[in-house]
Amino acid sequence: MPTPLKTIAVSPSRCIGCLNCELACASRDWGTLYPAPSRIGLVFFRDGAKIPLTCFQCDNAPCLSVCRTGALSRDARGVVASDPARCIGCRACSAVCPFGNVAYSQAARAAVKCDQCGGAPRCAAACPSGAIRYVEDQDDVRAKREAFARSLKSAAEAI
Amino acid sequence: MPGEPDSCAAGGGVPAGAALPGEAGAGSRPRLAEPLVEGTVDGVRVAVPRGATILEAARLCAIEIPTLCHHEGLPPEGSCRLCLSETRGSLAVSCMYPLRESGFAALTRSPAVLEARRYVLSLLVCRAPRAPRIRKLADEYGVSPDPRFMRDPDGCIRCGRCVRACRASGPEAIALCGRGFARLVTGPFGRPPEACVGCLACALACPTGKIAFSERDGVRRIWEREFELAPCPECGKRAFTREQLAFLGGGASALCHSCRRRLMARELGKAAALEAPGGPALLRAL
Ligand code: SF4
Ligand code: FES
Repeated sequence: MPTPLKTIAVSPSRCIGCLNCELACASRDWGTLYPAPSRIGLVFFRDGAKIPLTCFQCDNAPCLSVCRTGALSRDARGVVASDPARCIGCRACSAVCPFGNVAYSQAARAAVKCDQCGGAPRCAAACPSGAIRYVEDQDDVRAKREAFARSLKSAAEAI
Repeated sequence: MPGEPDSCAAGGGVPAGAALPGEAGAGSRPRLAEPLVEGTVDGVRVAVPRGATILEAARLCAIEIPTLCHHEGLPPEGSCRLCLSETRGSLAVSCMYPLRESGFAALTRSPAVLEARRYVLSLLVCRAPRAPRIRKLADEYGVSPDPRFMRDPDGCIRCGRCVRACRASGPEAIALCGRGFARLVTGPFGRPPEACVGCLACALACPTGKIAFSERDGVRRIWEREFELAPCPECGKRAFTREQLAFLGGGASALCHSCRRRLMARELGKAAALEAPGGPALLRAL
């Protein structure tokens, strides 16, 4: 399974909660500044902590494994992208993503998920504080990602 | 995983090719590894992978061919006949006709094509005279229903998109049965389909909007069946039917995607806090 050559790296400690990422993402296909259909989500906590979360482009992606029409497919960059023309709206992908990263959009009549904007993610471009960066997936990033994934895994088991 | 690994290939005119387990396989995707063949569509030169259809070639040239039964995510069936084009002096079903050799020359608006398309439309409009999409096409082509075939128009054009969508998503709850005027989409033995999980893929796939469904008080009704929409344990929003969650098994849950993301962030925060200096204090704050 190819690993993305570049990846969206998230540093929650740098997040200032401005929501630019959500707005930039939501404005992509609908031309609106309404964050609900955003593929990236900022989660706020009572103590002021903020964590931006978006698709991890899992190696064994559950969404991909339940899609039977080819609407979700892994592209040459290793990213799981969605093709609305092939989507039949069964929403299985949305029901099985453990992280809540696939939504079904009534407006688009299709599943929507992060595809890293085909190589130039708007969220990273819109982030003023470096909390979301689009970086080469080199060894140091990879190590961080793996550490992140490990904590995720224990978190997933805890849910 | 729902469905047979080859559930997309069943019934399709074009074999699905060898989809890797776990990677989706659609019925009609042209193999990109195929060599290119060259030809023209309405005189526009185009090169496509061998085995691509006339419809795909036309779309590459930005030439529009109207379609009804075709869906890019489903195996083609060629049942509505609206997409006719002309090649080698005879009519071809564009959404299924594979281009195998260089030198093809397809015509999408020749007199023969337009005449045949008008005739097809005059029949389709008898089946679904009120469907907005059919009416728009009929207006565009100046077609009125042929009274000889106007019998109990029920809004269904028997294109089978719903059946293919249901088969692709797994349950295979409905099928096209019978012939001629008696042909219709139904559950087994004409009864409400027991295998239906209420996912709505059929209703969304239908080009005429024939498949009715409703949602009220947390209950979805479709195919004369009722499905309880499971409430998200966090926020109460209802996104999936219990039957669909059971059908998907394993990782599927009634948690809506925003709550799932929120829970994930909280657990992540806890995991990070445990390792951070001053962790326990952070942990209480989350
Ligand atoms: S119900 Fe709709 S999708 Fe199904 S066969 Fe009839 S027209 Fe086609
Ligand atoms: S779209 Fe080709 S036959 Fe229906």
